[in-house]
Amino acid sequence: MTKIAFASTMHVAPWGGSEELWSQTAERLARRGGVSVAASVHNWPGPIARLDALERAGGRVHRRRPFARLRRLSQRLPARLTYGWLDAFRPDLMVVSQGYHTEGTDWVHACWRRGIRFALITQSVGECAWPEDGFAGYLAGAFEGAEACYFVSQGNLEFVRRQLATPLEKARIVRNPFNVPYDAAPSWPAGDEPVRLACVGRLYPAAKGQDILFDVLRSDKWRGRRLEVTLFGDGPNAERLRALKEMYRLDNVRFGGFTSDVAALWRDHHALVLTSRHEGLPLVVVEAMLCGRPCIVTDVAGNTELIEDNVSGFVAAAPNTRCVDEALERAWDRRACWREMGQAAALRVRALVPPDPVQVLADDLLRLAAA
Amino acid sequence: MKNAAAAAPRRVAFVSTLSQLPWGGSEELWSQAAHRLLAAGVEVRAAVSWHPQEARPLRELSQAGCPVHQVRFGLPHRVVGRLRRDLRRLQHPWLARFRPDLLVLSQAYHVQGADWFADCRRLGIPYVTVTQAAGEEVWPGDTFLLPVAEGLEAARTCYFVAEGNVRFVRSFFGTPLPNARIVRNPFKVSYDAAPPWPQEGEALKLACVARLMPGAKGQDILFDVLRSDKWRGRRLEVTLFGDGPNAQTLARLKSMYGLENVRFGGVTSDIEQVWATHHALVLTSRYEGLPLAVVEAMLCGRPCIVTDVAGNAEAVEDNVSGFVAAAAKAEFVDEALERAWARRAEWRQMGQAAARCIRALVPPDPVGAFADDLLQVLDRVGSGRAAGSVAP
Repeated sequence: MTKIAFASTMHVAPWGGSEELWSQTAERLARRGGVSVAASVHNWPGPIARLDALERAGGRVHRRRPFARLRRLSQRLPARLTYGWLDAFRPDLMVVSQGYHTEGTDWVHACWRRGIRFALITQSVGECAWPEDGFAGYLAGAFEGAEACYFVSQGNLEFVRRQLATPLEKARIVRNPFNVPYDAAPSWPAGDEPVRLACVGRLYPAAKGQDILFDVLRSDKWRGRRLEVTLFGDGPNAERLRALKEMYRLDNVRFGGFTSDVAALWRDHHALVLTSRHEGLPLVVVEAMLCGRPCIVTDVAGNTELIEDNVSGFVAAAPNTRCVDEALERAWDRRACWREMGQAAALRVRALVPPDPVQVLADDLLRLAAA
Repeated sequence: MKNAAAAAPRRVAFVSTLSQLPWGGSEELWSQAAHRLLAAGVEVRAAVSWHPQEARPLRELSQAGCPVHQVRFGLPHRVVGRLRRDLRRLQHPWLARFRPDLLVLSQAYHVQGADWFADCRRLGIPYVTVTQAAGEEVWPGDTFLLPVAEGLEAARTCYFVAEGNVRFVRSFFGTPLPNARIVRNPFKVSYDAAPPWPQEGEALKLACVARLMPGAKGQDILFDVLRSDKWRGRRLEVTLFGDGPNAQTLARLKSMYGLENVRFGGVTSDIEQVWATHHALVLTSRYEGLPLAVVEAMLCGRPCIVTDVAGNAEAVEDNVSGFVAAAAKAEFVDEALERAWARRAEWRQMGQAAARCIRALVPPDPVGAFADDLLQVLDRVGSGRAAGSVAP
């Protein structure tokens, strides 16, 4: 019996996109014969569909009690409160899914003390908050000590190499599972005008940069064009973004709320616009491309690994007003070609993202656990 | 100081939100202004976050007659703060005891100070804010942001150190901030500094004067540019002056990349001496206010190679007094550095342009200008009170 354990560091946002990969992989492994799976997650209030599915598949889910966070402050609290299940389970491999690349060192430490081999999945990386030297050294040791460290984009990997000043030779790229069928091909929206852009992302400008887009759209030039932008999603800054829309009097911007049917969304929209400040590899870009829509994005993290500028979309060189305006201007000029570019996007994304990314990771983990 | 003889009110509180560090460049303006107000006969007190190491300037303030109150935000306080997260209660009894006529809130970072705003409103104390930096990556949720936004809106004046910061904070909070004004920070070179141009020797020498903290100052981006064969092959040296929380990481990155043309120069207090031996400043920050390193280099007649964040492009005119990279990314820094390299014969002349430009932007005595401004606000507050109007 191969035993694989998972721990997710996510504790701020309720069940975000970062949780799909590890939880679906855990479920897949649990369904397979000869593999036993356990997972440690934040003590989420209420039921979480993915966790229920994992339990139904035979996986054990440990919700961390509030004292688990207290324990981080005081190492004197007995370790069994947090790690008792780990001692009982004794996995062959522990997979730590990091919502952010500086998280999860407590799990790495626990693995080291117990001689458990571990792998890291890094879902996102930000450039402005650097761990100070002591912690950076520890993190570098954690990444280098892992059996494998998985990143969701080459851009993230290269930045972490630089930030921790460590070669990370065992790093590899994984893809996140997506929420549209691999053969999705929603019909092109009826009518070319007004041009309808969808901005799909958490209403959280620190990451998704909606404020930069607003700043571009408030110029007279963009007000005068028949262009509509709908923001899909919810998030911690919904109110501030509404206030900003009012302050700038952006009549061409709408809030579309949260939607789970992504393929349906693309039947009504011509292209994606996403002016992120930092990213991993945005799922919304993968999904828009699978649905045959061109994407207007900023050159952060994995965006340009997917989108070729002027071929499958338009890339703003940096997340600032000037660069986004420039890219959006090029997009506007060539709006007659969007349908064709969307087809190019559909081809390209299928060359880069496998039909079943979960299976790819599951196979890799089994190989590591058996090694 | 022209208002020195004006009648009461005469009590001013300076509050700094800097935490985790004992001192920083953001603290110079308010602390030096406090000294000026003391000299003008104002009763001044200050409140700062407690730190195990008391910074020397704080001791000097106390000795000059400005009691410094240490606000403790230790663990028990944080836990208690969590339990009563709302701002309905008085957070700082110190403020109720002192009852200043004006409070000056120095925000080390633009999202701080909600607790002080709430207390000022509750106690009817007028206040001004000084925002020293605004970064784009920290973005708390709406429930946290709203009190700060309202706090800034209710300020008599919101001082910022760069136009770029004002623009960003406006869109960050979704508020027009009609009462925003620009102030300048004091600098550590003399206003008529003119260090001699370094000898044109073997290599061109760039200085990067900044805390060793790449999250803000972007030294890693510079390293990433310099590791290309193109730059390795050029006679160019970069010396990093300063210290900081990522000194070892940067040293490791230098050796990982094998950067022989990069050196660490340690901490130096004699900036004019740095410029007597270096030809230009390079500063590839991710976010900024208006960096003192740029102001000082320009005052010393040196061109600056900077990224277009916050106030940098307000101080440095691209291709005139320096070179501006469009964003804090390796490809843009490489592009700007390439232009700089191509025109290296003109650096001395560009440095002279820089020396002129910066003197048009920054006054000889920024602290005096700020202190005068505060005294005027104080007078208006006083006359408002005399006329029976109610403080906000």
